[in-house]
Amino acid sequence: MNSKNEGIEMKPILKQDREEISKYDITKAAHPGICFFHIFFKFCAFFSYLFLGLIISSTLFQYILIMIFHSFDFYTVKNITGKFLVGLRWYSDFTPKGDEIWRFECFDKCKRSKIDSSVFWTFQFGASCAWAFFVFTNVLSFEFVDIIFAGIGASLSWINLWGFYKCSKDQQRKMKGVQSYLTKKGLQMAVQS
Amino acid sequence: MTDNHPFGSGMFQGQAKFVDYAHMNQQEVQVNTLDEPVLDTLLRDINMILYKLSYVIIPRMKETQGRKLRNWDLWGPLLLSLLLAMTLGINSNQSSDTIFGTIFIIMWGGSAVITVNAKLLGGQVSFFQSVCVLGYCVFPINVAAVVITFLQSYFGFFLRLIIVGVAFLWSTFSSLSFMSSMMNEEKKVISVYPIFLFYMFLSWFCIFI
Repeated sequence: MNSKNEGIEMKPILKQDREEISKYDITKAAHPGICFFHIFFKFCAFFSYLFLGLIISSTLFQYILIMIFHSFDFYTVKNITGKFLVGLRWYSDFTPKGDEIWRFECFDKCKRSKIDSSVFWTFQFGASCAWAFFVFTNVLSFEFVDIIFAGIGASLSWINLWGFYKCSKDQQRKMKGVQSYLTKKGLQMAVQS
Repeated sequence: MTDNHPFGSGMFQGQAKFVDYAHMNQQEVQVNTLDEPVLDTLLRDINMILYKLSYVIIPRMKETQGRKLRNWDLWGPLLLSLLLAMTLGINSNQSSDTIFGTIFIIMWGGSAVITVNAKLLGGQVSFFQSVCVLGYCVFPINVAAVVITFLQSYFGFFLRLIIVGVAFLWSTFSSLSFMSSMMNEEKKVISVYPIFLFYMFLSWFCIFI
């Protein structure tokens, strides 16, 4: 009897655990391949920054590979991952006069899942913080070459984070705008009827 | 236009103008490419890079044609700087990472300084556009560096000087055809002189390292 009771009590706790873990379960995400690439290029950049010296002896090619991974990561997150995982986009545009303006946009309907957005934001924010940490440690230990590469990685990650943050603020503003519009319309209809 | 599509037909909230594709600004291009597969995005960007390279190879003095260069991207300058650093680093006596760092910093730092200079002199040039153009115009110097590095044994010093000299003049002329339209008429010489120095410095690297 006791063991049966224990069995019944154990079940709800396990279910809670499962729900928390599955927030990062990529196999259940709406775009698993894109999630993978979002993480893959960041991983490559970190790996090459930390460990490539052990594999390739020529420092020139190490530097080139690190730059390539940084730029791939930036491009992937800005153009591909952001669009598909969180439905946001930012870019620069020109007015007819020739002035440059920055646009931050969000998509109306998008097949987004919570897993996608949590993967996106966690890894982007985590990578940005990690690169900032590396810049800090390199500044303290006066390793100038490493400062350049960690600095480039940190600035690219934070630029992306800033761009998407502005997009998501824009998205929240529009949600509020839609809500207030709907309430206004509802009131109008109520008044008319 | 189908409703089955994940993004739907009421695509996104922004102003969309539907004009001829060839004269579109970035927003219009983005509207039409919201739902394209990843490979299409990559191919479109590669095409833009190649288009800009073709503009550098055949510089055109007319201002109207320079307008298409306004869609800046920093991929070309990045690839060209990496390529230049690599070709000069391979066959040199000095340590290759020093050369990499030097070329990288000179190219990006130099472009930034020239742009700031042009802006301070009253030019109406956007920062990234100008860095983009200066970076793309390094392409002839890159070609000269590759030629010299891989055919080193066949070339005497004077032939190298001639090849790099031609590349330098080509680069400068290409970038001028875009930059001069953006600059103040009276202060053209002061704005243009740093560009001249910049490409001269990079050409100097090709000959002597």
